[in-house]
Amino acid sequence: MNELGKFASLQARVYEFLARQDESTLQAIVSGTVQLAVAPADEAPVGSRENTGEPAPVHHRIEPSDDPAQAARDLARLTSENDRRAYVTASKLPMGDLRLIARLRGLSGYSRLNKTALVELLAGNGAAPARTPAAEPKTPAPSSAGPVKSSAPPPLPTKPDAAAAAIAVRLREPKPRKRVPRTFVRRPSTEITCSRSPLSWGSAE
Amino acid sequence: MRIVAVMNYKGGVGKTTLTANLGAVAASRGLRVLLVDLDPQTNLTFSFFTIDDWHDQLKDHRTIRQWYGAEIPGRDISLADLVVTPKRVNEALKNTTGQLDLIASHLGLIDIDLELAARLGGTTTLDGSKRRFLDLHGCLRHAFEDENFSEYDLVLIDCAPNFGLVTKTAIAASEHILVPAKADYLSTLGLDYLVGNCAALVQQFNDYVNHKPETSGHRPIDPAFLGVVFTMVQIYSQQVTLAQHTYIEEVRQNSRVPVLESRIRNSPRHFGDAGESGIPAMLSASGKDEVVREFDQLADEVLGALTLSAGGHR
Ligand SMILES: Nc1ncnc2c1ncn2[C@@H]1O[C@H](COP(=O)(O)OP(=O)(O)O)[C@@H](O)[C@H]1O
Ligand SMILES: [Mg+2]
Repeated sequence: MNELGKFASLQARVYEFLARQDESTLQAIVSGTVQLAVAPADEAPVGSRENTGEPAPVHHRIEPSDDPAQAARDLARLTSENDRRAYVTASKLPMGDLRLIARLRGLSGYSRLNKTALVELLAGNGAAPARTPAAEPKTPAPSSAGPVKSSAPPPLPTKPDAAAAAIAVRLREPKPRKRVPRTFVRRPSTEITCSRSPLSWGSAE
Repeated sequence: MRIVAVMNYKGGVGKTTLTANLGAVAASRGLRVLLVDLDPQTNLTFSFFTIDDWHDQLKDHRTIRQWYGAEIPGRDISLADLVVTPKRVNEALKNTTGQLDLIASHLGLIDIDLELAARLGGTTTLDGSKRRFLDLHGCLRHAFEDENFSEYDLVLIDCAPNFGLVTKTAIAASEHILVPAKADYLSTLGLDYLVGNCAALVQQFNDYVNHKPETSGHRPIDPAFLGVVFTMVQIYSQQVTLAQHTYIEEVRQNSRVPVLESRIRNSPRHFGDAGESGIPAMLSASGKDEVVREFDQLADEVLGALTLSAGGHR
């Protein structure tokens, strides 16, 4: 009876949540372009607007992550080629990260591609299976002594970095730099190959 | 793209501090900068990553150790795959057009260095061993020819304080060598030795290339000394202390390495502790104190010599 009671109240909460969503959000949940997430009651999670009663914003566009593993997972969820292209472009990730994403997505033939071609490869292959999470560097075996962690995907660490942001404000002004005269020019190689000092053993035997 | 090796046989002369801060200042001027940590002590890496992040994100898959660890370095993994963009410093740079990327190091590089050296001896024919010499010493240079690196304006390589094979690959890859040194007896004594060893490497490499230029698959190398930059200079009442002045003058007059005009004073306040971790002191320092100005001047001098100006050569 107890278990049944829990199940019933769980169902009630889910319905309560779904009832508050508008049609497009429900569509998006069904098609998988948005995901349901669990958050503690004191943080307002996406989709729960207890106080306002207004429909939750629809996150068709996933915020691009700069973590390649997360980006690989996000790409797997984006259903259109345009969305994936927009995501990869907006992420501004360097080549190394893009290649890593390609690897995590199980793609091949990416290592010789230039950036444009690589973005196209990633955009075109949403359906390719992402590598198993076990292959990712970020899943160390939980130590038995450690605190039990929830198995839910970790929240993205988007905590604003106040110190870095403060520095960024200061670094905004691109001071016009005076062009500096060439102080040192390349010296001819004979300069360093001559053996004047007994300490420099001059030649290859 | 300009590739500069930052090297000195001596540890603790400020190589890593200089690499991180010069790179950061260059990036704040709008250049796209790649830093490469070739020191198994990994200090440069930990200037930008916490130990936890290194452990979780880099250690097993994305350090230079993996790259050098292959039978021929770079055969298993492309160097470009190892590039990472440290978060905090690039957050600080976000209003500039600059970028600061890194290839991280790993303690295990120390063993790889020895293994690599052992591989030099693996062949039986003279041609074979010359070929192997060139392939091993030229590996990093070859890797930087990958077009993905052409998007960088400046590559700074923080070398280990030795002349092992990994350091030699950095010399062979670099067009320029920057030598941070302390103005003391031992540091200055070592400079000509450093020049001599570099010269010997250049000569041997080029002899082997010229032996069979058409089949070697390598071109001659010609790294030039940008110069010595004196670091941790003791300043009292706006003057370099007499003892240090003597060493600096000695090098200026008698060494074959040019001495840069710029110098960096000893400033435990800026460089003593970890500071604003993940962001080099020259970016996090507020205001233009003397040390910030010194680094600015150093950047002017080095970037000027490399003919890199703000905004970069793309
Ligand atoms: N200009 C400076 N003033 C004061 N301390 C410095 C300065 N430059 C470097 N240091 C400190 O000296 C130590 C060695 O510097 P580091 O850059 O790691 O040298 P290296 O890479 O040559 O071994 C570090 O603790 C660093 O913080
Ligand atoms: Mg160092």
